[in-house]
Amino acid sequence: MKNARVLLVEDCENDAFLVLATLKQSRIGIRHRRVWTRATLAAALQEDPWDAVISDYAMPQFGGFEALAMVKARNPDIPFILVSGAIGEETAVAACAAAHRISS
Amino acid sequence: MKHNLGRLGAVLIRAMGETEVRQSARAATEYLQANEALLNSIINTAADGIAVIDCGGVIEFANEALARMMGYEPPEMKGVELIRLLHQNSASTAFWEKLFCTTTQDCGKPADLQTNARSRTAGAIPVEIRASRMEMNGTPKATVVIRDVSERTRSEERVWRLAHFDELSGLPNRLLFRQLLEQALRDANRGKKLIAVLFIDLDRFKLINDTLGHDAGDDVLREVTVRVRQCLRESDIISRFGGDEFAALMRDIDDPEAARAAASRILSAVAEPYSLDGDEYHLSASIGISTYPGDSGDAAALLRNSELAMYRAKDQGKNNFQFHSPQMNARSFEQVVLERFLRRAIELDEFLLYYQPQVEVATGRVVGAEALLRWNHPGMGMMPPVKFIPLAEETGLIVPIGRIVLMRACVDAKRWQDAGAHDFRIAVNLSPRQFAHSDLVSDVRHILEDTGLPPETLELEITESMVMDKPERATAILHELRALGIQLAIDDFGTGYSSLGYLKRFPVNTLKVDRSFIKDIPDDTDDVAITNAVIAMGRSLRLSVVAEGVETAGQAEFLRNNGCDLMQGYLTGKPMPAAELDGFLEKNGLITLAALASIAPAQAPVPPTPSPEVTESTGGNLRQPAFRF
Repeated sequence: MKNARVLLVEDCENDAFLVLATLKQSRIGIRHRRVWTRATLAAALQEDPWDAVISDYAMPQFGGFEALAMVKARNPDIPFILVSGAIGEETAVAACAAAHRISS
Repeated sequence: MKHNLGRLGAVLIRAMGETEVRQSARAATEYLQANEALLNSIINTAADGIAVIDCGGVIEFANEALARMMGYEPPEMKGVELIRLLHQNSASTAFWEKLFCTTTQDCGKPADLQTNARSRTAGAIPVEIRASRMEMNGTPKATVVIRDVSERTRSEERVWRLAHFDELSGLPNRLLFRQLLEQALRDANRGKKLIAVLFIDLDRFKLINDTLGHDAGDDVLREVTVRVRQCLRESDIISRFGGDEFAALMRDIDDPEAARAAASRILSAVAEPYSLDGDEYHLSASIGISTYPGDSGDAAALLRNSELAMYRAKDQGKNNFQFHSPQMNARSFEQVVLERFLRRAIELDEFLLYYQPQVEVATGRVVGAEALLRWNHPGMGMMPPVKFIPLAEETGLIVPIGRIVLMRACVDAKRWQDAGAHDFRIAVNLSPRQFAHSDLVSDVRHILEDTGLPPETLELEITESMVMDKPERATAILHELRALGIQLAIDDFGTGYSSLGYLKRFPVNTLKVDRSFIKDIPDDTDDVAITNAVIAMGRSLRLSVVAEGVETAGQAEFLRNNGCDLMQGYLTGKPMPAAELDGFLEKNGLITLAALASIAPAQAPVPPTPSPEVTESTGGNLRQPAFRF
């Protein structure tokens, strides 16, 4: 499998490192870029094609839902994975539903 | 968060896999949609009709061209059985088998069929159909392409017609005639029948062209075409070779007499006057006849021989026919003499009418008479009809004779009506040739107008065989005659076909029971049964029934007891000349001689058109006075 192009929406460098390390452990080859503001997310979506977006749920600048909306508006096919330690069950369901609604 | 991250790789891989599937499905759908649009555009732009049918022949899809061709709206086509769009005789078994074969194996090459489609708007359309089997989701179907080839067929026909037909007359030209003759010779080799070729050349036709112009000449040629056609059987072929040359091909004839009779009829028909620019002109023809197998078995030789014979006819003074074989020209002396006498009898007015009274069976009241033809030849005396009617019929002379008979019968009947017998009915026999003659209806109309006879008092008698020959045409003529207001009777009923189905469709008023059935009643049980059946049938069809040949009181009583309407025969009055019928009617209290005397004497019979003698040239007397007859 060729390297997957993954866009990481994560303000915390440590968490980003963790995600990348985990993917590396799973023997998934990736090329990534990290953004954490609306502007940089928009630019990244504009500039490059992405195979997947992995986003933190809660960031100081803007939230995971907003990132999801931006990504889906750009290309509803891109898989969007929300990563969060603090997310509650209900919020996760809402996010899944939203992701589904947007993509279909 | 951290301890849950272990699943992230699996989630990512699954999500990306799902996306890939979704994307390629979407791409495939888009591709298919684009493809379908392309195919739809191609299919609906195609000029040929295209359909997909299931294995029951029901249309599942049809393009716009097919709908247009068949006169349907495109949505209406779905569910229609393909075979309903095609002409019934398109039952090419191989084709349909190929189309509907239910086995899964490939049926090989596409099947082709040429037939007619039945359009709701345009009627029959010649089409070429090509069908090939296919399979959709395991179900056998067929794609059918239907091509409208009417334009091509038309242009092919046009080219073929141009090459094989004469434009002026619409007849086959020399080339086609030759081909048909060759075909006829091939067919005749298998059978035992004769073939005759008649080479017909108009005499003095150049005179018409020179004096009246080519348009008038063309009109005459077209008229000649029509007349010659009427002298021949439908199966005979007429051709115009060009100029004033025609030819006729008679196949399947039993003996050369048929050709002789046809030639004689053609001479008579061509000799009838042509009206051009208000004047009447006369023409004649010379005919040469060759026969197979007598003369030759070769088409070229038969044509050459008939042409040579035609030139000999010209040498003999024109207006006659000659066989190529000298022995064929010999004909029974009696026949030749009789025909000449008959032609002269028309000119010299040697025909007489006898009248046989018709009376009401129930009351004995005289209601009318049947007119019967007699020929009083100066040398041979009174000739019975059987001696000369067949020859008159064969030569076509019966047509002018028939006009004379009808005219005179109407004049006489009008006299008796004016003298007091107001409802006096006159029955006149029509011969087969008269009935087939195109002028019959207008002749009858003119005669009624000229004599002033009320149409309902004239009854024309026809025989079953005359109408059974071409029932559709006969029915049309009978309706035209009835439209004039006259009555129609079927003569000699019971001796011919007696198809009840047709009897119902023919607009006749009267059945005449043949004398052969009356003769032996009331003794012969068969004849009694037949006569009773005819009377009963006549009643149920609301026809009047006339018994012929009633000679005894016993017969009359039988007819009275069984409800027969009218009778005629020696019992109530033998055929008698008009003057004798005057007395008969007076004795019966229908007319008074005083009233008869006050009426102007019967008009001198209107002279018929002089019929040029077939065996002699009429010389250069092209223009003759015009007569109605």
